Amino acid sequence: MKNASSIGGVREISQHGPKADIEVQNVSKRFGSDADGLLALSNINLCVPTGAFATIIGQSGCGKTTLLRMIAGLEPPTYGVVKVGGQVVQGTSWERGMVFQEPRLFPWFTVARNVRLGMPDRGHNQEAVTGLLRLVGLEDFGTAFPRELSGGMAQRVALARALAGSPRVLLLDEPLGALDAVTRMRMQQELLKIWQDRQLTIVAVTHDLDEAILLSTQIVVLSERPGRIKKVIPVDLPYPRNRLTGEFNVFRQELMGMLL
Amino acid sequence: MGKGKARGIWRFLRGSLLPLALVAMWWLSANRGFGTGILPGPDDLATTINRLVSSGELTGHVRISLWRIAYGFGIAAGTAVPLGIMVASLPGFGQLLLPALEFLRQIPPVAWIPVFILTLGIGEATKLAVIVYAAFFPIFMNTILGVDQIDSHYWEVAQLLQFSRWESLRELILPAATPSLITGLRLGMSNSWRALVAAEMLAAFSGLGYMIMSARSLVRMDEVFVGIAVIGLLGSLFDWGWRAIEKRLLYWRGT
Ligand SMILES: Nc1ncnc2c1ncn2[C@@H]1O[C@H](COP(=O)(O)OP(=O)(O)OP(=O)(O)O)[C@@H](O)[C@H]1O
Ligand SMILES: [Mg+2]
Repeated sequence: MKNASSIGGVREISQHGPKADIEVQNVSKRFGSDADGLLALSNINLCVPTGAFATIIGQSGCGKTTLLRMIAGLEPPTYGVVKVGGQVVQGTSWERGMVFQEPRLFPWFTVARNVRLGMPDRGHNQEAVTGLLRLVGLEDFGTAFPRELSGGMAQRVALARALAGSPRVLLLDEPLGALDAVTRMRMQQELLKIWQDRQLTIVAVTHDLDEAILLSTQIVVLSERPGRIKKVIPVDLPYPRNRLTGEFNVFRQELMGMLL
Repeated sequence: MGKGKARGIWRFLRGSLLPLALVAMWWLSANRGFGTGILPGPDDLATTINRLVSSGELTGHVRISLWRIAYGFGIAAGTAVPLGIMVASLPGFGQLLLPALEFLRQIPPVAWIPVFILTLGIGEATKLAVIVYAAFFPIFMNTILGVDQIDSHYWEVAQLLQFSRWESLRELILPAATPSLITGLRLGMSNSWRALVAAEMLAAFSGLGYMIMSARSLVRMDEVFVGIAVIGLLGSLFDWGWRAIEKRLLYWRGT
């Protein structure tokens, strides 16, 4: 917790429940063999405290997805360790939920069945399934098949499925990327509410600078490939945030300066 | 709705054109003195069918052939699907089995009939062995293909959702591989149907293949033709059935 990235204007973090600090320590990731492999991430050190909302930004191909996958336990680091709640991550766990860049719903099952499969008991509690669908605004689509959904709706089902496992840590890979501007703004508010209500620790990838400032307690800026941490910017504005204020603009300008 | 129905009727009519033309040519050649004069015409077949059905001969042979197919195909599907899934999901298992199976796959089932007769005798076991052999490989190969083609994206979801082995099978492998599985089952059935008739011609005293062979030796060409027609019709019926099953099971894909 006494890591440089967690100092500063982190919002007041609720410390109930088990710890879910995410610590990424000296992590590098190489795809392929050592000699002619591709170095995707180089020496990443990052700490996301329990209850924080971190966003990762950086150019396409800089390793954002790879970093999330390593936290999820879908991919082992080549060097270094990832810890969540003090435990070294080895494989996936109910403690960590993930929404991918694509919805990845099972096309052969209905929306409700997809969400049910996200629950450890596979959804014996029908109420809970309905509640999750209502949460993402799709209570009327339980019996629909994924092919009948728009891209944004499918992504919302994927979010409901990830929340169904009651994770402490939620990993989001550009979850709002496919949405139109209005739906996107609404989903940003929903996401903040879910984060606060469920006291989640969130790591999200986004390409949208405003979204990063609007949502997160800290912004992690990655350099071009191989991805290194360029800077971790704490965002100490109170919620709800307003894009039109001068303070917001200060962050915007700092980020623009870093990325251009 | 009405439009789709009309299109269906047109398709049916267009599909019937060639068979009708062939029957007409057949009728002409049989009745206008072309050919050797041994060939029966389509009109002769109607009387033959009538006779064979009312004597119970045809239905008896059909029933026996269908029974053999049901048994043999059931055994083949019951072994080829689980084995295919195991080979596709356990690499070591595949390396153990595949070279031998690849060799066996190249041999037409009928070529084994002498061996089967020597080892299994001329009873039902030989016919069943031929059917199983013929149906096994298309089902087996398509099962492997279907499981191999499952997008790794879904496997990662299964990992995140902590699927057990059994859940992976039920929620992911089987539904994802269903299109390929049905293709395999369909091919397996038509393969075994053809092989069965060959086996019945060589080593049987009942069934459609036997009916054709015994009619041939009595120079009852009309009965030979009835046998051929029934084989073709039943084969088409199986295929149609599989298509119907496919449509039902894969409704989630839409049209
Ligand atoms: N399984 C893999 N095998 C080989 N190389 C990979 C693999 N996964 C990712 N890479 C490479 O690692 C680098 C980082 O990929 P990653 O998907 O993490 O980028 P990203 O930052 O998420 O990009 P984007 O914003 O376009 O989604 C890329 O150059 C990519 O080609
Ligand atoms: Mg990515």
